[in-house]
Amino acid sequence: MMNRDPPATNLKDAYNAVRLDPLQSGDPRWVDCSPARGGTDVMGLLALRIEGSSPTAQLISGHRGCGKSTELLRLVNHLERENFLVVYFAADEDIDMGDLVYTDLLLSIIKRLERTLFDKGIKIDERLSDGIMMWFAEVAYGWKDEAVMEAKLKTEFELGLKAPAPLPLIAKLLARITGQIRTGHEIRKEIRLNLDPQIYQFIERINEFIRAALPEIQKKGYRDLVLIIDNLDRIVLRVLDEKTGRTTHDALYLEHAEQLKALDAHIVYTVPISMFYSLKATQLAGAFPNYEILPMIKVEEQDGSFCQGGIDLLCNVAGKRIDVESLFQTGVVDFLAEKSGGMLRDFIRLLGYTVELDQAEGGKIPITKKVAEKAFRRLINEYGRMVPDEHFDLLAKVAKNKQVRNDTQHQAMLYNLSVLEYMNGDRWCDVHPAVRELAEFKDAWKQIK
Amino acid sequence: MPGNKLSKPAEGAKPVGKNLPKRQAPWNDAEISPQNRDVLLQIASLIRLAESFRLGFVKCNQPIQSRLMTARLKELLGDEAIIIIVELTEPVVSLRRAVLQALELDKQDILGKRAILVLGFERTIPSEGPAPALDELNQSRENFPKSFSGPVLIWLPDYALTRLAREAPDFWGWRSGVFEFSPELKIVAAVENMLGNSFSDSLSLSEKIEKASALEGLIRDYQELPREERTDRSLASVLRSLGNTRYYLGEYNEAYRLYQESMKISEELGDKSGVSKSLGQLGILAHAMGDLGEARRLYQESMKISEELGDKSDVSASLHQLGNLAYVTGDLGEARRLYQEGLKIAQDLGDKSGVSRSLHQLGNLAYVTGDLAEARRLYQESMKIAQKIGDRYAPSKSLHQLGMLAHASGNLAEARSLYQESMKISQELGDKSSVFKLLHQLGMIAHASGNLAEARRLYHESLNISQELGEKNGIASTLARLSLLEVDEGYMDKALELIRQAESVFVELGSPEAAQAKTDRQRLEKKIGNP
Repeated sequence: MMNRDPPATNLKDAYNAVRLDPLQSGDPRWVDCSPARGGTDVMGLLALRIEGSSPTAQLISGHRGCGKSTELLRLVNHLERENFLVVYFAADEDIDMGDLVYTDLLLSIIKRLERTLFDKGIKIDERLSDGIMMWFAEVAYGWKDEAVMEAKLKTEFELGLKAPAPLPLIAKLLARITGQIRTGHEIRKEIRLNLDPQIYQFIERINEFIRAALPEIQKKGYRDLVLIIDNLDRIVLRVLDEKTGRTTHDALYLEHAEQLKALDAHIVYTVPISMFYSLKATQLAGAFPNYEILPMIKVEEQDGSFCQGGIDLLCNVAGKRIDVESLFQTGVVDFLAEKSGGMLRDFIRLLGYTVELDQAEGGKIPITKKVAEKAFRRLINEYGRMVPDEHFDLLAKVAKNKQVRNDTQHQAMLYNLSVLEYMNGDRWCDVHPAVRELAEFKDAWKQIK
Repeated sequence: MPGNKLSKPAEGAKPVGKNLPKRQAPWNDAEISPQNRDVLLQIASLIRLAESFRLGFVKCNQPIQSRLMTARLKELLGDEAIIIIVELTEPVVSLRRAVLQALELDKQDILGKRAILVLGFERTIPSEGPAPALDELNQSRENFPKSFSGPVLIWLPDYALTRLAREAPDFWGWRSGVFEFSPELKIVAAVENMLGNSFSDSLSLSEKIEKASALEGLIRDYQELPREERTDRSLASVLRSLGNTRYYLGEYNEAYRLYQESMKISEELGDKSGVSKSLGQLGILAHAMGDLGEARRLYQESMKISEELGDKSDVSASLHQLGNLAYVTGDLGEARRLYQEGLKIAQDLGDKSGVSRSLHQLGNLAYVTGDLAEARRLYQESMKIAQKIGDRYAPSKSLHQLGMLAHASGNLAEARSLYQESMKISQELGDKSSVFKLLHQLGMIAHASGNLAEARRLYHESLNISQELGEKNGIASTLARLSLLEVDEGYMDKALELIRQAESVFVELGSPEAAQAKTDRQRLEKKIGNP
């Protein structure tokens, strides 16, 4: 279904073949890395629960850049092949992640659901959908008269340049509400204040909508409905209450777990990995027993020995994009794989740096290890910028014990990727290879040894 | 408000070129270090290779070095790619929207490959405190490839890049390279020389802000260069220079921090002249904040060191400041002696700026002792000299005082027009301290002409600024005027409350105005019949 160019054989093609964007599902460049992620196919587990049980809410977590979006898109593809109707969207396209409350998320979900059903030509009972629409119109804006609302939305949407195709009224209304929540400061507060006390009716309206849609969905030959919400883990971490240490993450995933779980559909939420290392980790696992964490690709074992399996997989990832044999001297890509710490995005990044530096130095092929070392040096400097001084002592301890404590400092270290999580049976952690090269880390390491 | 002192922090060098030249700088032909040449080649390599959106960051501390490097990059790439430079001149809410807007303004329909270099985003990223644009940036990565079809390189000084890496990690996570330029000693020295030659007080508000950012760039470069005596000495002087610019922008706390930091380095170096200069500036700051005892101590300490070093120019400056102190505490004889001593040294040295400064203050003395004709003559002479050397700050003060003269002789229309002329310059210079004093004076004129509502508005506007600056003498003077206004409006209780506040500040300052305030208060208390 996708026609991909063969692996690049010159520097320019190679540079443009190593891009950081997630792969769309079905992309032939995808490599199954699960053997080096502790042997479990995380997406397979999520799919299994969706296929085998009644609607549940599941969580998926993993480091920024570990391949999460690529894997989620693969899950979407798998489910679609299994005849599920999948509503997939990136939360940060709809919602201001710097100021998100759970009602924003629920609004975004019903908006996306309505759009998907419309696109698939699935119609639900008009009286029911009108009733739901007027409920939202009244709660959000106090509008009671459908005709008045219709006139108002009509002029608004004609003024704006959006909506190329004629949109149903309910879509216009939901787009208006979510748009105002995303951008309007005052109106955002007002709509939230109106919705919050009505949360049970709110959820009931969404579920009515889902229940009405399900028979129609099944008539079209789908097995069931699945909602997958990506990038929700980008919700900005802020402490809301200095005394209790309550954060924006707690507010969404813990305090409103009941509401997030109340929808009558299979649903997958992305969660920041740091939550699984906070003091609230047990509470989170209690609220959402079905969760998975996508670990890094292992390039080293827990005892520090080489993990050839992981390195081979990464070389395979490179080989799908670049003709490794003709462009690199033997061992150069292995070196980059090892220094990426198994983090896919850093590995792809290092490949790009190496190609770009080689070009800057005259473009000799095959590329030598010396150039690759320069690329790694650049990555080291970048990590030097990201890690604050007060972390180095703790990082040395992580490197020694291969474990992190559940506290805010360690959460921050997982968040900025100076600590990476791996898996083989048990979870364990290690310090990013680029961080290990920093002078401050080396000093702290000497102290601890 | 009498006592409009001329207390400008000394700038060190003589004024040669007043404004910051933007083009044809002397270092354009400077050799680029091999290290930086490699960095240029790497950026060129990214631009040559990339066929779609790529995000890159460039570390460069100096706006001037950035301009030089971007020009070199253009030469290097020639026809291979079109380089579009977007320079953000003020803080933005959204980096992406600001860049798109700038491109829209350009309206260039460009075919072929283009790379966008974004300069000046650091204006949105303070070195401390919240930076909401980074939160916005953190969420907007997905929108960048939709908006731009080629490489976008964001140029930032070191501190801003570090903040971005830590506070916008999701955006930072998509980088395709961070390219770091090292400071070039030749550029650094040339820039410092140029900045040293511009007087902060005569720059317009936007020029002051520009100068402050150039000085901050210099400071970062010096902090990165290997530490040695020569660079440390320069760093101390640049820190002091930035302190002066901050002082003129009314950012007293920041100025205080910078002077302290500069003094610490001078002390470590055993550079007595540097220490003396910082002490003098700290004295001016203490004076402005109303801590007269501390100001005197600092001036005297500074002068003692200058005398030891035989630095007559600095001695003259200290004499002048001590004269100002004597003047505001009402010791007019002592003030005259100090001003005249300072004037003599300045004349011997041929220091025109110093001469103009002393003449102005002697004019103030003539004014308060009632010799108005002599005062006018001195102000006009001072103004003439200052204008000749391209100084704008001192003439604004002279105009102010000439306005006071007209005011005192009952010529309200002329006074108003002189105040307004002075105000125009002060506003252009961003000289908040003068602006609030002029507002006060204009308020008095409105008050005297019976326009009470206008007077109230002007007093309050003045009070807002003096409170922001923490200039206590100004606050108390305006409170006293507001008290009189309330008396005229018949609100005796309010008037009494205001004069009590004013009196307590005057007493705290040891100001001669305290006596007048006391009399006014007692009169009011008697009137209300409330002891």
